[in-house]
Amino acid sequence: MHAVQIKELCKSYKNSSFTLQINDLSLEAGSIFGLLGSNGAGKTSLLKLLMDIVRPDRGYIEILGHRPSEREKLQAKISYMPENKNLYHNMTVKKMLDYASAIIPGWDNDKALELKNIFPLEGKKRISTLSYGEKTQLYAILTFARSADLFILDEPTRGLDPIMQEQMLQLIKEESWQGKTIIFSSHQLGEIEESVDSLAMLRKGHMVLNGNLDDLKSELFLLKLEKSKISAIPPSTLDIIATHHQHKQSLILCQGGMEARQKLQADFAFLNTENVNIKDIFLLLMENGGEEE
Amino acid sequence: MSLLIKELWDLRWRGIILLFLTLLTGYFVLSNYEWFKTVTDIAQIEQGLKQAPFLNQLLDMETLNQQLLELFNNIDFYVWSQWFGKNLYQLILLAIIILTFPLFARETEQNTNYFLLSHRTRKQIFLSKILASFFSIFLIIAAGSILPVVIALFHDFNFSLEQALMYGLQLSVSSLFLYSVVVFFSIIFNDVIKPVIASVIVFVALGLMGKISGMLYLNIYRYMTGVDIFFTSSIQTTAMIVIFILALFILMGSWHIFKNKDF
Amino acid sequence: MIWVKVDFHSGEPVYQQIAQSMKGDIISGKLSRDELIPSIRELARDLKINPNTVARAYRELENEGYIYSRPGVGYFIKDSDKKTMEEKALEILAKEMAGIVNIARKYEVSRQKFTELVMQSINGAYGGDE
Repeated sequence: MHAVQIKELCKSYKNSSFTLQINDLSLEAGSIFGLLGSNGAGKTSLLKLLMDIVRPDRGYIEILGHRPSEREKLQAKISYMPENKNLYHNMTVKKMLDYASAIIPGWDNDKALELKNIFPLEGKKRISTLSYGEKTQLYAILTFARSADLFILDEPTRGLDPIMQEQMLQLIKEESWQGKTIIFSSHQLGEIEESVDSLAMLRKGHMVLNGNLDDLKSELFLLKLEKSKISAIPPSTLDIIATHHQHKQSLILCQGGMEARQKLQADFAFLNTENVNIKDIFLLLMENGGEEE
Repeated sequence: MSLLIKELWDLRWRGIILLFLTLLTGYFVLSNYEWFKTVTDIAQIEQGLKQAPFLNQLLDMETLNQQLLELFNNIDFYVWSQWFGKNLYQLILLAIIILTFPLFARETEQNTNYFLLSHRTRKQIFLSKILASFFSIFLIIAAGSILPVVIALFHDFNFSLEQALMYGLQLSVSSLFLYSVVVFFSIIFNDVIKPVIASVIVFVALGLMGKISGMLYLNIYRYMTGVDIFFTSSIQTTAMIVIFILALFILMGSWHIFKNKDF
Repeated sequence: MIWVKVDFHSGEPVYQQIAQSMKGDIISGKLSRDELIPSIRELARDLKINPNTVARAYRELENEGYIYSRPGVGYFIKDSDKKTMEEKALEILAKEMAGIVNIARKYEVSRQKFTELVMQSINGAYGGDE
């Protein structure tokens, strides 16, 4: 069962020369999906496209079995935390929460009270006086104090102190254990690595990596080679994803399962294959994404 | 539909102050005919009338002077020229701009569109905002139109409900048109200042257009002030229909832009 | 209570870390035969990870004959005789050995020196000549 399906999606922005292009992306229902990428890579655009806040030039998006434009049907099922966490300047925190309880479908007051303990805020404070982190806290309450099948979160932990970040991640995991689907974008590789089941990496509007986290760790490995030794390996033996040349050595990110690795190591004694974690993959892909050598 | 209530709530201070201002001004202008007669002289009124372009073209200046003296002692003329013909319509113009300019633009400026669009459809958002704001404007129009009827009960002039309804209707339709212009600007601009400036420019331009002879029928303010009602005791039905259709056209265009906008 | 130390930031997939850890406990006898192990949900909760990940680990353990499941009851440690356990231990040891041998080759350690080193380690651990 797919919560989200995207095919041949394209969105270009006339003001900048940026174009988002996603050919094929699916998200399983009940999974936690991470979206990684540098600033301007297209994460926020992608999430806005799912929410019908921005419209694509072309392409197919299916979200919980509907098109994104079918908002009447999706409103009650999707909870969205935008990147820009501004709310009504002149409202107090309390007034905002009261308004939210009236306007948000499936609002759960008990849950809101619990969340207020985790993300404490002074009810009398005006929203215009809140710091970025406090606005994020408020939005966290607005996002999770309701029922939803899908949570779309754009940088949900940015601005939060470490304890609250941890609690936000815990909230995400708990929703997932109840079968909900969560998509969240982040800059922090660590928290993505600790919580997601699958992920995608965006670079300049393109998807350079996509898959289940455990699978990616199984299938990708790193070769560290002195430049002089590179020519010793015939290119056909390696399925190269990315390369990064340093001063004296090259780092090569390759694809291949356990067997391929063992064979490689047996054939070439001097080779050392290493496991890779998200940080390794991210750094290599962001440097030169998808270039073949 | 609590979005409608929130929109009305957002308008409360501006709406209340404008309503209060309207009633206060109305009371002062309409109750003080006697004082007015002693204080002003005919020359001043003549000057004032000369500046009302449509009047110039309805009557020639010679008969004007004769008729002025007659009219001066006619309280109905006073009521019309000072209230519907002057203060009320200017207050309504003010109300239209003040109540409408931030309607959509403020949400964009404060970046609250994301919150709004997550929980309500664009249709719901558009309708709530339009209904709330125009309803407020309409309330002020209604109050201002009925005020003379109420005050007439305590003074020695007549002002029928029928007259009030006629003036009120032309005011409402004309206002709807001008309102639709402000709505349009509120949607296309991303901050709250530009809609004000653009609306003022358009309102002034519309006034200037009417000064060009031959384009008299294009002067919206003529219909707003109800000059034809005063002189002919009837509503300009054709014009009203045309203006109404234009207003709807602009509102539909605004809806189309809002519906398809990227935020 | 099964304790698995999970490192999310390692290059080794989490499900494999769980499976490896449990294999080790089983072979070393820490988990005895027919012992009931936590359900997928329970272990996922304890470790604060996705049940799917635990499920994947359990699948591998089941496929490789370390555990079995009784539908409606749970997962149990498979009763394996000493010989099978020894085979499994040797399997794991062989994998580790392959890694060590590769290092030796990489540093171009001679066969003789390497063998000496290995014997030293064995004698140190097992005592004298075994």
